[in-house]
Amino acid sequence: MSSIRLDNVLVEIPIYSGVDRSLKFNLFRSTGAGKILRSAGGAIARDQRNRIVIRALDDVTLDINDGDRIALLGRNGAGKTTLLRVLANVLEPVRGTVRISGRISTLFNVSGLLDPELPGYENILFAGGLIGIPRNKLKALLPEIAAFAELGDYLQMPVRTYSSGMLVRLGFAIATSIEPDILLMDEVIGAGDVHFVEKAVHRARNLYQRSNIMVVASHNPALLHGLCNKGILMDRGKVVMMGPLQEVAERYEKNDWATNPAPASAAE
Amino acid sequence: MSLPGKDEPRVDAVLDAGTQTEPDTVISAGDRARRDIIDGLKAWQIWTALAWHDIRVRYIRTMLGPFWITVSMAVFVLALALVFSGVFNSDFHEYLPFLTAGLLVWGLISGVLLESATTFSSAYLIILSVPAPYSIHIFRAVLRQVIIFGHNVIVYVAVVLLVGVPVTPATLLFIPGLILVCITMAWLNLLIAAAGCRFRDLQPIVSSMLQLVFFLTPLIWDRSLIGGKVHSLWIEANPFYHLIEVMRSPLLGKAPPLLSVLCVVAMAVVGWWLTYLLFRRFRRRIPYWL
Repeated sequence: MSSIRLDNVLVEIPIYSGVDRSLKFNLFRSTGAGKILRSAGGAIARDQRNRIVIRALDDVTLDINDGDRIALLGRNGAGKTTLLRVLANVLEPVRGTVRISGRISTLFNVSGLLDPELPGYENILFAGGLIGIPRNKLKALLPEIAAFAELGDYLQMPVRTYSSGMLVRLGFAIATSIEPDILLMDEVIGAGDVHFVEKAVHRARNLYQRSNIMVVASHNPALLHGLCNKGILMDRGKVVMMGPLQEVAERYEKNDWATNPAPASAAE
Repeated sequence: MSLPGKDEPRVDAVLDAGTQTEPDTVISAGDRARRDIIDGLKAWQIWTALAWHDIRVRYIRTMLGPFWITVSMAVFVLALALVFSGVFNSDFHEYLPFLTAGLLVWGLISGVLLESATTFSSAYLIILSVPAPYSIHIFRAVLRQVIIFGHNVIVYVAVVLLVGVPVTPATLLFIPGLILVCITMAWLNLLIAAAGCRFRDLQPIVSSMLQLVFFLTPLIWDRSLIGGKVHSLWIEANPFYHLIEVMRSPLLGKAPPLLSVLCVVAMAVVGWWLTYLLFRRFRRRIPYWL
């Protein structure tokens, strides 16, 4: 039994690099003129202590249960990665409650965890250890991971010699080698060449049959058909819609949801 | 278990990748901070592997490998000893072991402090992708410096054989000394690492302070060498002097001064207590500061 419940989750990321002064003027202008300024990314606002913050998640309430395989859809900066980070328990929200039960595996940037100087084989042990797979288990999984990544002799070469697509292959192979209760993935499936994407979708499909909950962020709903049964559409840190994937994907493609007004908080 | 405050977010069931804790228990900030440190200690296999990995990667394409640490220490000590035994008009055979032991310990302390402010910010990829305890990065950084210290000990052993430093039962006291110093360095590292990702000025401040401390602490000079011209308060009010002394004295075959032992124990206990209070308050802000 796995479940995830978020209640009124707020994530505001403070910006500490002296943008305050120049931004004050812009916020005033855009709201003062009553104009709606649309941009990608979360709402830029002020928190209770009057600091400039990016409101990455705004009052998100979600209930995810066993069997839910969710596609996270939304434009760049809509809050998909932040939501995944909250679900993965690497980011504690500023306000709100998070309840998670089940063993989580994340697929964020596993290729970023690889060490450029180490050969592929050692990186499987290194990065696999970092994401929490016990070493003896990793050693047993080694042939399987190597076969899936299809990197051949390159596994004996330092990872810095890999192309970005090869890095994605290795990272994906490592992260999907275990069977978690809850699987979180961020934009990984779309990377790599056509052949690999096919393989990756197939592997993810196998994986979800063994895991209870899956949440995948992507810009490409077509890839997620057959992989997911539900969709969450996000914009500016808010959940616009949650429901069957078909309906959510249609709404996403219609693009009519992206008309919410400029952040009210900016006027405060 | 203390109840979380009104506005404090409650996160149930802390999940490390791999281990599952009992779900549906409310965990307060204090529990999370304590658990972070305890789970971090328990994950010793991970940070031990990471520390060795750091050393390996740093020297992976060099011929001498990590023994570059040893060589550079040997050159440094020998050159300084030749010049400063002359400056202080002191016996080279007495000055060399004093200098070597002091610089050995100083290397450990300054090594930890120099990398403290960037401990979390350089591990941001791990912190933002894996729900692992933050303290593993601290233990990794301290152990990395202990490994470097281990390579430097070779220089000290060579000096012992060369000039005949007395090896007595008191020499063994350097092991509890090392443990005390590591405990102290760990809280300092945690404190500076957390503050360092919020306030990026900390890194340059720490490195310039260290230069100053290097000259103010009796490392290349000693009370006996300058004929008591420095007031002892200058020496004994310097916490670094005591950190050095709990290891340097045993390395020179003497028991460490009681005052130094007491000072370092006090630093370890009070420091960890203060750091823990701050850590439980600011732990959850760390990923926001990265």
